[in-house]
Amino acid sequence: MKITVKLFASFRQYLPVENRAEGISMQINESTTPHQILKQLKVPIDQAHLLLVNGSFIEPEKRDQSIFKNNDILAVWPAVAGG
Amino acid sequence: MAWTRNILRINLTTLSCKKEPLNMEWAGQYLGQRGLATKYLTEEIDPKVAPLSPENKLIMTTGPLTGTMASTAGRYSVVTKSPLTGAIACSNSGGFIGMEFKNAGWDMIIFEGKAPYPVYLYIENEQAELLSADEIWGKTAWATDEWLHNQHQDPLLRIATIGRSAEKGCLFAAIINDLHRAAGRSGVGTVMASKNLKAVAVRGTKGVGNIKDPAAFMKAVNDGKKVLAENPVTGEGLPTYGTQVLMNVINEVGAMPTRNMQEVQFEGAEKISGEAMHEPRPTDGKPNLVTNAGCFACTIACGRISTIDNGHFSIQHKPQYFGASGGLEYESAWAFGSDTGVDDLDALTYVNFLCNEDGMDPITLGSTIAAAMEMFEQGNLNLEDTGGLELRFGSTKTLVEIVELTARGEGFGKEIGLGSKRLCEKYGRPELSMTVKGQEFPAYDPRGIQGMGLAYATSNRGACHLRGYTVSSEVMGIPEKTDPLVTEGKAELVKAFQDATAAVDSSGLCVFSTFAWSMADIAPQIQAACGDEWTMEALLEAGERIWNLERKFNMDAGLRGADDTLPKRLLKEAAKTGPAAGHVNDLHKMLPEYYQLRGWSQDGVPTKEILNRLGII
Repeated sequence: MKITVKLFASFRQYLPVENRAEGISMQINESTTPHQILKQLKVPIDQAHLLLVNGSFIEPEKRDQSIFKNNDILAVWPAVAGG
Repeated sequence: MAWTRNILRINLTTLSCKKEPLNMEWAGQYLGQRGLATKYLTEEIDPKVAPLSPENKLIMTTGPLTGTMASTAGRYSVVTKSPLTGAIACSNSGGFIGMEFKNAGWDMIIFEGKAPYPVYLYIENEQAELLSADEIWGKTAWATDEWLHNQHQDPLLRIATIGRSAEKGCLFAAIINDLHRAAGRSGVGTVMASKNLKAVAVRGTKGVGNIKDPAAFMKAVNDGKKVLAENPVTGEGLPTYGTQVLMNVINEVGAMPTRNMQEVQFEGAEKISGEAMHEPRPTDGKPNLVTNAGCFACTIACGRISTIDNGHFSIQHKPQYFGASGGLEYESAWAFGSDTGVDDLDALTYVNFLCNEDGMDPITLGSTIAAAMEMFEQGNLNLEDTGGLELRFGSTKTLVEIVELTARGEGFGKEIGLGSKRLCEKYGRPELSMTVKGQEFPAYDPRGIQGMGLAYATSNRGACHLRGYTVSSEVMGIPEKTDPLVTEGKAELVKAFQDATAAVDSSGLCVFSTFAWSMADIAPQIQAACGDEWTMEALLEAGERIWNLERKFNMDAGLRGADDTLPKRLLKEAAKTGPAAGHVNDLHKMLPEYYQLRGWSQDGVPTKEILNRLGII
């Protein structure tokens, strides 16, 4: 299946410059987990605080599970806040 | 301790300046700044007073920690009755002027009456005098700042001033200090203008002392700074990306107010985000962001200093805007960006400069323009009404033009200066004003973040994110993650955030410190400075006391529980996209529980029991 991966804030550095704004498209199989994708992209898992799939928060305990469907959007941030 | 114990009372009608002792019994109940000034205001004015009459008062106030070495201790607030809402107004600002008030020996300045002619207040330590503002009335905040520095030949003078918008009656005028910090919300600048008070210029050289236990204070402060430095949000995220890091977050979770809150996601969010501010512009190869900036004593430094492409249409032939100045924060970026459908980062930076230059609240201004755009597109406003402006969503040039007009109080900008509630009522579409109690919403659509609906509805100064920022928990997971789409537990969450924030706002510290600090980090700093009695429990009770006092003022001013509501759009029209698709805000599920937790009646009125328990009556 195909998913889109978007990385934000300081995690942008783990994407090629030309893909930073739009994210990258990845072909994965059904068993792939969010943490496997982060490892592949060399994103430090312990710093991945906010992890959303299609905008919904994924609890840390579910990030080693196969949760993806075709055309999902994975978006990941380190700890961030604002006002 | 930590307080200077001095109040400066300025009677503008008689042009007199008087020193008074601070009421330390009240300080023991309300701490300082927001809480203590609210106590003074409620004791000294009739809640039903007309906000722009001489009978209203305006209080500039610091907290006991303002001006000390504690991190983020640079805050001051302006407390008055709001002309925008008719409710209590308390606008908090950083920069350096709060510190300077303390260094000059003053906890608080109370302005009363109305000057017979335009004046400004000049303070040099104990000396305070009202001087003619003839030469600066009609000038921008930036020009006034420059004139005062030249006039007094003092580059270290700290200045808070109104711009032209306030003088022209814009109901959401801000008070600008240190060029680009603002007591921004609820029209505190409009009240200042109504008193013929143009500016306050202050120089203090006395230092800030009176710390109860200096050694314990130094330890507590150093411990606190370590926590801020080691926390990924305050140590790295905020300094690097500022509040603007939220643009993409809130858009992804489907809570981005877009085109006057008709939608919850904006296709142009990436282009106007905190990340985009770091990218080189295709036009001149330079990034929007020059550097971050800190207020006095702050070790976070979330402020933005930005430039605009000098070839951009908005500043062509305007070299005064070619340099770096206060850049976009998230609140101004969404209000001028997604809410008006504009995704031009240079244009948004320019209109944000104008808000600083002429003292306007960017949230209310952007939202009011968005409401006008919806009315224009639906035929409630026409070209004759707008003076020829095609007020359509996504029109960058129109956005720039209407902000310039509002800053000067000219043409249709004069009407925009009414705020969206009055504007939409005037043109027959009151339901298109996205406000609570007459104040516009900040950057979080409460259909996608349920707790924020309750926080907005019950905020004592009208819709506001800084009165109970449950986004922190519901979206960012600070201190604990809660589900943004459920209502269970949100009444308790909102009350907890409201009370804690009221305490922090009364201390002199910045509320952004609480992304890393809990009350367990804050209390030792206040205890060492002010006395052991300021435990975590005492601080939270003071917060609850402040909240109830503000509420009581509003009730006495004529507001009712029925005002604790949201625009119909958010209660009836479901979000169309994102995780919140199909959701409205379920305020009715949270509000009764909230009243119960507060100990208020079913109509939202604080009971005698609760007011007695808190020592308010």
